[in-house]
Amino acid sequence: MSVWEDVVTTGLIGTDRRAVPDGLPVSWGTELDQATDPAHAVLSLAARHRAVTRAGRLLQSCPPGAVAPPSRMPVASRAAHEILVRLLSPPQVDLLNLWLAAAVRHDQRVSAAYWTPLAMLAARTTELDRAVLAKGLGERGIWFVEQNPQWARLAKSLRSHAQDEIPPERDASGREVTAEAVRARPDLIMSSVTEWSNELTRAVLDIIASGQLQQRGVRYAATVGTRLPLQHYEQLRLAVQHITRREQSLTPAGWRSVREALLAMERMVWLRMEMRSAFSGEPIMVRRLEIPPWDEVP
Amino acid sequence: MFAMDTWPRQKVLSLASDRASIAAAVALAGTRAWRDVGTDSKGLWGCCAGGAGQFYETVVALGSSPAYACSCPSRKVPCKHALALLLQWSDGLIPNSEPPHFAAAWLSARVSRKGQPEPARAERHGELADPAAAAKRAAARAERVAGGLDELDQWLCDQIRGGLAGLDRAGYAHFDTMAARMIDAQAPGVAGMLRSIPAEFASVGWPSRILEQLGALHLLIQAHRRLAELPADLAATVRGRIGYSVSKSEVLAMPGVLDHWFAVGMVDTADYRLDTRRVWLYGADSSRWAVIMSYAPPGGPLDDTVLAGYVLHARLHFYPGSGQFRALVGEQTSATAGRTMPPAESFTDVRTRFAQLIAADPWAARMPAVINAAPVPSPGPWRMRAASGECCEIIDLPEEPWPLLARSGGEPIEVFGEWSARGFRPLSLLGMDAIEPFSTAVVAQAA
Repeated sequence: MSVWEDVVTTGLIGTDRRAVPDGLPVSWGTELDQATDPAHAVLSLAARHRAVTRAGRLLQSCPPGAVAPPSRMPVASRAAHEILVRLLSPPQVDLLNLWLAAAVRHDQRVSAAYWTPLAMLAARTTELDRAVLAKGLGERGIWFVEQNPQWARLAKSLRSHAQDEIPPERDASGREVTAEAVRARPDLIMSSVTEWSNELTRAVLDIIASGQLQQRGVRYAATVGTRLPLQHYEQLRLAVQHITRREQSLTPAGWRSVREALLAMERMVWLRMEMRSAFSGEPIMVRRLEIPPWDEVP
Repeated sequence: MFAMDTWPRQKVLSLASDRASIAAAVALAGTRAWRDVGTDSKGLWGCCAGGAGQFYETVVALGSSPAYACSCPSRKVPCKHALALLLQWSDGLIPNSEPPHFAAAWLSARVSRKGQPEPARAERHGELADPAAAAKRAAARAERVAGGLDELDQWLCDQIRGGLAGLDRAGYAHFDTMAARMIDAQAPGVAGMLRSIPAEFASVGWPSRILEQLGALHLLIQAHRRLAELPADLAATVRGRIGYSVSKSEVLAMPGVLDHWFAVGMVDTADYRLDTRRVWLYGADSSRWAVIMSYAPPGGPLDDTVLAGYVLHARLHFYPGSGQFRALVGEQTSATAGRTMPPAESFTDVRTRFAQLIAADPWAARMPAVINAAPVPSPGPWRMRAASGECCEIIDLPEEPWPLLARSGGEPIEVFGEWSARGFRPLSLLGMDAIEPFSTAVVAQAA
């Protein structure tokens, strides 16, 4: 039994029943006065032991942990990550997939600062695209996910998706649809190739601006916003001017729905323009469209 | 101290008093509940729909000390409306415009209040209105404290004479009763030490830990009895640990240290009936460490004047006592500077400095330190491992520090935190990432 253990034992049993250990090592400091109250003696020894162990604590050694492989891709820009932060708080999975796909297309990866929230999100939902996530994290990021046993399933999925091809932004796998067909069936636009003609874009904007989709209009517009060719942004401005000329008569509720739909679409398109600018380094060359509150419409 | 450029989203979210505020603000930002939103170089404003057709008027004063005003009934500061406004501003959604009347009136009244001279006070810079009465009060207090500590001394001896075995079954009340006596004796510091003891019963080897804690109390009692014989610095430390208060005016009257202070890290803790915030600062020229403390009732707003990541050019005035880091912010200037990262120390140097701290203040619990080490995950406590192979436990984190591992890739990185006898509490990551050279994201916040 060490000296300190001896002292602790005395403390546990009580000095009324057990004597204070004697013959203390010199390193414990000045020898205690034997006339000292035994209880005070134990407390003094405890105070000394506390100071010595706290001040002189030796550190243990431990083997090193695993080390990540080097990363090959450059990290995306600060501007790109500022967008990522917005998309993570709160998480918007569809937009995160867009962001990751854009990063991968530009051969850039996510900063390590954001691997944890992305992994936590991906562990909760399969809607976060594993292929773009794997490529966006890179080898080093996948290594990181593999370190947490709670993410084992996710890590396995990422590893298997790491070699997948990422589809290009312009998807030619859909079919050609005409503006007339879209006017008749608005949802057809979702299955078209993404290289839209001006007429097709005008048709979609007319549908949204007409308010015909009512409550569905906001979701429709937001989805359209993920596919609208960015070079057609100015057509949005024309669509809003159309609204301000009140060429159509709608109820106040109808106007609100139309405005919300246009706002949703504009936000989505602008976000994609910001992403393109952030990943490519090229500035946005158009002025952002402001859509005034509906009660300011003349 | 603040640039008028928009703040990053994370900085805005860090102002929130709790997670519920963040969730409410994020849900509110950018919705059509807002109207008349605008900003100029001084502030932000907007009207947000509440219930029953009414609108809450919200204003945020930007600048070195942001301030908030809102007509909503919430007591949180900032409320969800102020946070939502800041989030929209951070996202670039607030147009420049002239402030409406409610915003202009509040912003200009605030400027007027700042420009008014301090009301004359009899007590200024340590001067006392009635020195004789103050001395009498001080003597009475010292007598009450001495009496209380005598009673505590007797109680400590009773525990040791009867033995500590069975004390774990006595419960918190056994210590709370004596702690309440210490409050009566105007020794709140001692009461706090007593209240922290029962938590040790949950640990393996509690008899040793409890005995050490009782020994620390015994040492404090002995030190107080010999206060007149101690060096002035140590006497001030003993008085501080007992709980003798030092007024802010007394502290601000002491010579200060003017420097560019970088707020390297911050931690909020919830102790017995009190929430505490520690903001650690490092002086660029003085290379000195300081901590700003603030307190609030549980769930109440803590001081957000200085948060982790800020740099302020100010004079800090330190509380008296050896081994003390606590300081108050005195005069500030508008001089700006970048962040001066404190240098990393080897584990040997940190241990040496900690030993010096214990010698100066035997009751000190922790000190600031920057170490260069790699996080090593494990099913038990994680460790920080230096290149030398030495390691220390990571302690007191609410979650596993996966972001720390993400940044390091398993290799050593510079981490700021609190070093204590039990281990290391990481608080910030320094200088590793070009995207985010400084980060307080040591543990994950669920997306």
